[in-house]
Amino acid sequence: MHSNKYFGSYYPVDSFIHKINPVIKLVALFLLLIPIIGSMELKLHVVMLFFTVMLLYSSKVPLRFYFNMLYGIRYLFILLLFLLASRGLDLETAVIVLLKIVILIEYLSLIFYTTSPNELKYGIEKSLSPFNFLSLNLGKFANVVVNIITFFPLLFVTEQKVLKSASMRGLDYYNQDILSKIYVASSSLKNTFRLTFERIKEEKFASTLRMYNVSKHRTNLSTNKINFNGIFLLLIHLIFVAYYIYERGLL
Amino acid sequence: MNFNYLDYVETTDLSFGVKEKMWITFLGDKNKDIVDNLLFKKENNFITINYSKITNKNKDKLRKLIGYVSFSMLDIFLGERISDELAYNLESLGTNKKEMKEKVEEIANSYKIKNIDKSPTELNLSEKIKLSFARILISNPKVLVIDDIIKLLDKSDLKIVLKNLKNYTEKGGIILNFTTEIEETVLGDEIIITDKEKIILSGKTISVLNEEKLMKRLGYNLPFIVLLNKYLKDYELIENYILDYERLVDAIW
Amino acid sequence: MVIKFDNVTYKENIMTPLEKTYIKNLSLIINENKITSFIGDSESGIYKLGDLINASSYVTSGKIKVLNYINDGRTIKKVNILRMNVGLVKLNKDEMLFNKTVKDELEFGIKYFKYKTEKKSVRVPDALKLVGLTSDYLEKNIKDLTLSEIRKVSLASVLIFNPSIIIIEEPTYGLQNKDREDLKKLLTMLKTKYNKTIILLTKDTDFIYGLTDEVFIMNKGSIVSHGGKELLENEDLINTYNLKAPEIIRFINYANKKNANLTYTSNILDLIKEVYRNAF
Repeated sequence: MHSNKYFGSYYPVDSFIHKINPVIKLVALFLLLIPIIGSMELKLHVVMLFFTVMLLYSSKVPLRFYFNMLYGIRYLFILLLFLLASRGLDLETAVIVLLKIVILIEYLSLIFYTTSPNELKYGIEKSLSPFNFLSLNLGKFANVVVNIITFFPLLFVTEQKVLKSASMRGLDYYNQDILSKIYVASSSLKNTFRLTFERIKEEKFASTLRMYNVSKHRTNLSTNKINFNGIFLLLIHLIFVAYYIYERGLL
Repeated sequence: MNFNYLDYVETTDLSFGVKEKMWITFLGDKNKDIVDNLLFKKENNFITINYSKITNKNKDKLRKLIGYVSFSMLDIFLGERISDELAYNLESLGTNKKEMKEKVEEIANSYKIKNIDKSPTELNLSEKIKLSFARILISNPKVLVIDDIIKLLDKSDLKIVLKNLKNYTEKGGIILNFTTEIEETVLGDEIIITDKEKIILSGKTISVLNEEKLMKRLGYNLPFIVLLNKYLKDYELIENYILDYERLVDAIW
Repeated sequence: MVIKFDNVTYKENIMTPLEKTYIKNLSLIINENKITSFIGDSESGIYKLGDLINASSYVTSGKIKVLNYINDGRTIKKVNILRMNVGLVKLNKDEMLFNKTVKDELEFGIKYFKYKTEKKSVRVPDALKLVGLTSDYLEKNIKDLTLSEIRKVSLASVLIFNPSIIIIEEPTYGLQNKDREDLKKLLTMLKTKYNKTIILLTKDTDFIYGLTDEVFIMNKGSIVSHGGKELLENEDLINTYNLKAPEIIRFINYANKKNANLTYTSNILDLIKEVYRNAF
């Protein structure tokens, strides 16, 4: 029961991936996008998928958390296959497109499970800092992006809490069939949304109490380390990009 | 430093001033409102620090002066590991890495927090409360607001926290303890009791606790050791109040 | 016998790096119409017992029998009737209250328990009266209440169903002395007049001494001692498990070390009379 309480929010263990500097993770994501968008070669995608699964395994987050989401949207995949087939694309292309989506989803889940909201804010700010000359308010932008990203996991976590409290007082979610489950979940939605917004406000207030200020400079105790883990990750990604460039004939 | 809380709006009459090294216990139904004002949650002209009022401009600078510990903020962690959680306030102040590392180690030692590389979500209730004291006092605020949380500490952790709080006040800190547990009043120098928009009683701990009839009418008993002393004095078994069991027993037998 | 634990183990986050064992091989019997207290520190697992008894958490191994229901990890049929008869008041309001106003909170379960809804207009104000709140609290928002009001509303939202078993985590947290005395009277009345079973999960030995019939001391997920309230008079035992003995007991023990020969009592006036007699 309640196998995944985290729904894509930060999973608090220490692993190879957790120790990587968030800026490096975001750069690696960007590097990954190059072959994902451009390449149409099956071998490369299979190797990238294998590599991503290795990363998932080394993140010490239980693997079923990663596969739950894929399992949840399996119908969408089948729909997609039919759509592509109706456009006359052959099986190999369809499989490649599927692999692209799977790799991207799992890679993003990896980043969200292993990077806390603070680290994400730091990562987005620092990786966009070359654009500082445009005098945009990068701190606020990073805040907004991270708030959007963490909203849905927080919503699901709050929903779990509300369902548990409601089941203690008669509206049981866990011992029912699927239709009743849907009824229970939807009738708690109003309270869930309200509580999620209240929680977001509380967390924002807690950080202002501890002197968080978007426009002021913050130092970091441990986040800005560049270690072997990060360099290793970047190297592998560079190899993929290099292979893609070679495959395309040094375009 | 001069810290004043002034609330004379309409029927309200809540005003008090605090000096350094003081520990004040607050009891009563206005506790929540006073704490909300101390945290600048609403637009207020109630607080003056060193004779200057709180405005939106100096609000952020003044956050440095007031620290806050409460049950509701217990589960809001802003760091990935306990060391990051402890260092968060120092990171906000722009402290350099070496100094942060030293301070984090120092405070983890004085609060006996082990395994500072683990996640704070794995701690039990009492350890979380201890951490919430440590993470605020690491940046040495002038005023510490405690919102009804000391009662939930385990016995061993209570000893550690009280020792650190005593150090904090000796070095000039001000503690405002808002609570419902009457036994905590003996920890502080003064008491302020609020009832229906007014401060009913305020003053040194023992003199307030002497007003037993008024306190009983408001719904408060005395702390056990004070009540015991009172009865023993009435029965003429002791001459003066002795707030320590061992010495009290020695005085009677 | 109304609640029976049979070699129960409870773990959370099983098969993940965050796995933690809260209850280990626990076996015990809780008797009807009594006030039973579980005391222990934060590592002892007492705060997980309430969830196990009302089946909002499932056991990892072992079996719990509550009234006629069995919690052994599998789905429980008609679990609503169990939940209606076992009321749990949690320490953390976020784990229990989720509606906007006090009125919504109190009326919530009535709709879903399909309880006698025609008595709704009587039940809700009655429940508030039992805990000492007036009817004008109905329209207030929960986030505007003070801590002691929130704890009273939590208790009212459980008493409204007239459960036969009432479990309260840290009953005195947030309550001032007068409210504690009222709570003591309420719990005693519920036990004697309405034949309820009351379970208290707390660290506050002062409150339960003089109220409780049975005491279980828990440490790291297991029971280390079990008895009546005389267990609280054994200060060495209490101190070993990171707990504080009641203040009155501490004084009596200090005095008896000086051969004062005082008897254990929970009433300070009796104590003073005895001290007066013994000191002369």
